[in-house]
Amino acid sequence: MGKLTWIFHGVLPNLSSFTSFQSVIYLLPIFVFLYAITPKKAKKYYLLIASYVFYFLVNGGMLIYLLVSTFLMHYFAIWIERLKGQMNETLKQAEKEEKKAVKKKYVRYQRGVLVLAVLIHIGALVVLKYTGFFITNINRIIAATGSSTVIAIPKFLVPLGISFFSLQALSYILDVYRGITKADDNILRLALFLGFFPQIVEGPICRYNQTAEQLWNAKPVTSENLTFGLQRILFGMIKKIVIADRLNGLVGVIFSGYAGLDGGTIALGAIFYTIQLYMDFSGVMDIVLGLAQIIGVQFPENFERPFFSKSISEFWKRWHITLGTWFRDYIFYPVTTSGSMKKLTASARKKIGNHYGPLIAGSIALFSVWICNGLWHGADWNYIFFGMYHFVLILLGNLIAPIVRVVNKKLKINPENFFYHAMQVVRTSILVVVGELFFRAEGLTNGFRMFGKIFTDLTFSSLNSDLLVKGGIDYLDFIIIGITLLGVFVVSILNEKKISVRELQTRPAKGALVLQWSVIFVLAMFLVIFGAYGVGYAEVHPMYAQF
Amino acid sequence: MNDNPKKNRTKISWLNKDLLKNDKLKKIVVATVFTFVFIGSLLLMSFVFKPTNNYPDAGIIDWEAHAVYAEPKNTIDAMFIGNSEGAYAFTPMTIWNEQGFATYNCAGRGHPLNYSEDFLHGVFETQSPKVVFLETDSIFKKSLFIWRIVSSYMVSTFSVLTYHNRWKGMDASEIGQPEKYEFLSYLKGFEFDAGVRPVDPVGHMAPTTSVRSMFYRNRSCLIKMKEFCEAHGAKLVLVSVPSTTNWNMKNHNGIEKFANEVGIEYIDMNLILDEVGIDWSTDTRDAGDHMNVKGAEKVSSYIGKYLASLGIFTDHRADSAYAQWNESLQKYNERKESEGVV
Repeated sequence: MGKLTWIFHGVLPNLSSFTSFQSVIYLLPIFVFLYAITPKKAKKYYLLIASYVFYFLVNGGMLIYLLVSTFLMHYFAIWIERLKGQMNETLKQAEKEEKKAVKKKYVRYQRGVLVLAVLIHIGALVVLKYTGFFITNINRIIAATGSSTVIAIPKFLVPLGISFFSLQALSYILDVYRGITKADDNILRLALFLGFFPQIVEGPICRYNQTAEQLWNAKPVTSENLTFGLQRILFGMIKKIVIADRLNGLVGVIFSGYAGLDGGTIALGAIFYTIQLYMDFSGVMDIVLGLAQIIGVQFPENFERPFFSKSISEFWKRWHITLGTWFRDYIFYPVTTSGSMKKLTASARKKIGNHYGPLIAGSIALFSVWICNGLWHGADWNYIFFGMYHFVLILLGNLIAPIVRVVNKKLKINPENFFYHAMQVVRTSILVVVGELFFRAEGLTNGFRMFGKIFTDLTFSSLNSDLLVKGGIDYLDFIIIGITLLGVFVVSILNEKKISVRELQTRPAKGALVLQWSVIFVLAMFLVIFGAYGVGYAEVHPMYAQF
Repeated sequence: MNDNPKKNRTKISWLNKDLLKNDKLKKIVVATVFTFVFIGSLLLMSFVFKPTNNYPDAGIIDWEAHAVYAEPKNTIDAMFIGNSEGAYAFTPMTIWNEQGFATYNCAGRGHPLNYSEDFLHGVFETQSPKVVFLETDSIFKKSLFIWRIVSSYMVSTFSVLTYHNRWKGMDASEIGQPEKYEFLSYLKGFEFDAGVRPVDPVGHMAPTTSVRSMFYRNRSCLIKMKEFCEAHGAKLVLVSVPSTTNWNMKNHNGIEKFANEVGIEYIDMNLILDEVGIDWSTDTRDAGDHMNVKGAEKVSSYIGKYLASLGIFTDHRADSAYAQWNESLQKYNERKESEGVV
């Protein structure tokens, strides 16, 4: 690799898969050991240095984006805070009739700074991630007119985690503007909040008030945090390396070679992909949260058993929670509570009632959220379709909710009945799997073709040993997947019933410690023997890191 | 009770202090015991999972390369080591067919330099080749960064990390058996691939004065390998097989400089493609990255002539001790025919 390439790509680009088996075995103990021996007052600097070293090793000179983002957000926030201070001072001295004008002026200044900060970050994100998509589509339009003009697509290097740390940076400046949090005069604390390495690759997307102080005041390692943090990390690794990585080959073969496969196999491929995605993403989140727990930091959960959901709306409250709440707080609520939307809602209530009235403004806000959600995942039409698909499902759910209530009442169906719940859960899961088929498909057209085949050719004739060999999987692998999924299911049921697995292990009066370490031992041995790593397996990077 | 917390502390009884200490000590002891139990379990699992023979079904990694240990002692004249570039480029059956020399290809996919060095040492325990060819592609790989050395040590100590997948087809009767190398490979370590994906070699080996630098640990590894060969009466030769993807003049300059400094012979086939007879439209399996069978036969034919020019090897084709080599050649030709290799 030439020197220039080294600077941009990093020395150890494969380290971005810090969730890989090798990274966790070799790097995690070193990280935790060094953290433990670092004096308490210096722990925050250690975390910051470790985060920047990690980022530089993985992404080289792209670290500059993170540094510039941190620098800009720090000073924009202080600027807004100063304007607030000036506004308050001026208001104290202003005459009563002048106060409104003064306030309006300063709010306009603050909004100007906010808009500048947001535009710079969104602008950078759009240019780096979406230029190719826009130019490709412009070229298609030009070609459709018969012209031979082709606009060259510039190639940009996209910084690792830009989709994640950009949203965190934006949430910080927005919260300062709204007065939810004060601007932090400590740039290093902000830097640690934005750049903490376990979460920069795949989240969770945290709020400043949630984690900045915790990270800055990171505590010494306690045996309890070490034990349960380690358990969580191993559990996450099992989900990713035993289940998700094992399915990767077969999913790839089905999605890339669907033309020669029947609809039944394609449907199974969609199910396998959904399992793979959930196990991969939630597994990585377990690793991140486990690592945070070891250093005494509590990150927000990103998954709450999404496949127990009874509706698509509920699904998105349980899946990638921090992204959903970000869109809710910074897009949905601002849109629905804007002056124009309030007027629209008030007028609609009078005409079409209290259920459907607010739905119009809500749907406009929902549309904005889902366009952004689709685009956040990637610059392609199938991601936009994915966003619109869920928008339509949620909208339909809202529209028919009153009708469903009436029908249930007339047919004397108890919606709290176990079988009714089960039906809702199965229905929701099927709808989610369909969405994931389009999400994973290699382009929207292929997505539709695959979906069409499920109905036109619903057989399983191509699900044979040749396909399994190509996918690098056999029936024994499916047994292991089944057993592991059963384990994950049991833990999920316990968590759903608010039974803490951690608490269960601390209950025995004698031998609690031995029980806890025995759990670690069993998880580790299971991972070593049944993990899909090493010879015969290709390493699979965390799936959401690509976004 | 005194309100001053500092004074309250002194009122803690000796009994309570001991209990506090014991609790912390207990946690350390439990964690330490489990760490040792875990390491012990890994070692036990390594003993259980490691294959005890080199038949392909046993699952030993690089079973083709490892089949060298099944060859009768002191019958190998020359050997090849390196990564996949070498594995796909040197076919011992061509050298046997044309010259009657017994060579073995111990190169393998992804072999880092230190792994090749280990193979070198391992082969010399039962063989005494006079020439060792090291394919140069692995020389510039960052395989000897400290964490990779630690990684390869961990993997070799805890072989369960390599062989864990054997749970699928392991026979319990194998456990505890001594290691046996009995399976003889007719390909003699060669990676046979008849596929053809042509490449346009435009720009390949474009002249430059740039010299690629070598990681210092790789350099010292090479010097150790040279010294090891010399100590065992062998000659180390560096070889760059034809590859448009992996080789260029900057790499060549780097190897040439090193070879001149330490006195190792270096053959770069990328500069004598006409002499070797390489045709990029027919001789590569993957658009210039690796050779296919046709390309490998041309490379190996050149190597065979080189070995003959040394004048130190005997034609073994009529030697009854090498009968299995003639049988291997027959199987090799049958395979070529079945896969349409002309």
